[in-house]
Amino acid sequence: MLQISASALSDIRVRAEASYPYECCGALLGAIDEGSVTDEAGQPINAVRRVVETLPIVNEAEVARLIDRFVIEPEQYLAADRAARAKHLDIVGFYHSHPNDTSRPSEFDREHALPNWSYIIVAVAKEDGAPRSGTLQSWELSHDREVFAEEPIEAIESPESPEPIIEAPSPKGN
Amino acid sequence: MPNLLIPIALRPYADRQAEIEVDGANVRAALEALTTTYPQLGAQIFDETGELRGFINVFVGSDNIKTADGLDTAVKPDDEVAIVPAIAGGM
Repeated sequence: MLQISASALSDIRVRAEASYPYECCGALLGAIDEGSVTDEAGQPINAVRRVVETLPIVNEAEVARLIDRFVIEPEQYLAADRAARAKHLDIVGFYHSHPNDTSRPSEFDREHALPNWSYIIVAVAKEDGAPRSGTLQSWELSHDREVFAEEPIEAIESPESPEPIIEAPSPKGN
Repeated sequence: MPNLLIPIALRPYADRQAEIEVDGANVRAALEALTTTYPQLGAQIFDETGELRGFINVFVGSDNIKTADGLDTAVKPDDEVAIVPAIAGGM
């Protein structure tokens, strides 16, 4: 299951529309609770991935393929991982858009995925002359890499705003 | 022994460990040592022909082995060896 706030989902939709007609992509940062239920091989089957924030990443696909491909290079992955750890978070998955297509994963998506992460796909198409995001689904690869199954998305409250780090100055003369 | 860094998505296949010390003078030997102990992890990073999956990268220190000697890239005892996925997809 994926738990994500409305504000994080909105960030993904806004980015999908801004990138149209090209694919956008990014990382989902948060925490993973592997749960207590495992399959016969001892692998988790009821993990909960909780997204705290999204991290946009530049799509490094070839220019001619930006309309139907996204690529996050290994160096970009390492930078995203460092950014997550600096905030005491983990990468819990990735998102990307499908311009003029559905939010279902392609065979190419399945072949390039890993289990234990969430993969959000959002459809985006032009409506009344402007890009509009449509269906949004999250997918999880099975441990045997054969099935990319839809996982439920649970809406959670947006994380509270961080405490202000600069205090207001004391009134003069006190 | 070289220290192998495991991405979070693969840790369930390696007893939840983020880092594992493995024996091996090159990347191939280090990964073989790792996947012999954790065969489920091997199925994620190697394809049916025994080759590294295309989107799986291995870094020795800050160098991607694709720009060095591939799986034959030498590994020193104090090296950090990281398994790093490239993330890709689309329609």
